[in-house]
Amino acid sequence: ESERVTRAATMIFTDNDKNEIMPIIKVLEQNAEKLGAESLARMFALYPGSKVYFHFEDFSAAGPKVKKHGAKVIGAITKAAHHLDDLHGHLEGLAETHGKVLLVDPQNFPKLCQCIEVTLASHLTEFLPSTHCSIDKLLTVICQILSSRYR
Amino acid sequence: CRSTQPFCTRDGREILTDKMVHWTPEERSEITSTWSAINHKAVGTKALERMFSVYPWTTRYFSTIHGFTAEGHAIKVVGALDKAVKHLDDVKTQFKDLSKKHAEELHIDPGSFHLLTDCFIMELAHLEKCKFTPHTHATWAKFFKVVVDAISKQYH
Repeated sequence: ESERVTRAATMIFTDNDKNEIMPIIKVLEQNAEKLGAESLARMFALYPGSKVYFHFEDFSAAGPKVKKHGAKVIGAITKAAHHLDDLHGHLEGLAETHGKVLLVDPQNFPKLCQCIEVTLASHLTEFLPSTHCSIDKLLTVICQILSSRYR
Repeated sequence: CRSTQPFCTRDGREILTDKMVHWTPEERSEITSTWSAINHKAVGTKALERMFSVYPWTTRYFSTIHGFTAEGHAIKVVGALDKAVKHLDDVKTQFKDLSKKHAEELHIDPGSFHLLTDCFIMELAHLEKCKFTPHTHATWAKFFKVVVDAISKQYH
């Protein structure tokens, strides 16, 4: 089925943003399972309602299913970071999956992003406001795109 | 059938029930011990500066304040948080005047308060590192939710 869509740009990334983002992406790529599991565990601890989407026996960061899913989520984020010039196109499949199949309440996306940021702050030697800002821009626009195919 | 939910009478008086915030001994201990171990002014200043960087629209509230500094304002903020830590069972009453001030004088959007408290959480995470486990994080998220609720209470 063909459909005319307008891709609205929701975020502008400067060269400075890219310089801030890419070292963090590298850390995420190299520790996807650990940082992903911890981010999810934070979300499950703060927002117990978010557990409804998963059938896990163990919702802690040590849980095998939490680790596996954490690695998947971080993997998708780091991959997306390498496609800033066409984020909409790159994430179209995932947006469809979330919007039509998984039907995750999109209010959960910013909550997980906040937990990712707290995880980064608790592991990195430095997480300056300028870095935090650029990462927040990336995560915010990913949340927006993932929320875009529900209706 | 007795209800434990608070409700308002028609003239707006809230009938007190046993719906109070419940703190476990573990939560109280975490909040009071961590709060006493950190440099309040430094953490407060960093949280404000982080908020101004990551959420620049918040600078608008402070742009007309003569002689404003993040440090000067941080002292006020952490003073209020200190009160909250010392009165965990009674934050709403402690924050009544502060809430009125934010609502009626300062006109801060109550939907924005979490932006500053989220930055406090980021600073605590950065300070405490691996001690800031998901469990500890949840305790502090609860504390700051109580604070935000209290400071939002007098808005109509």
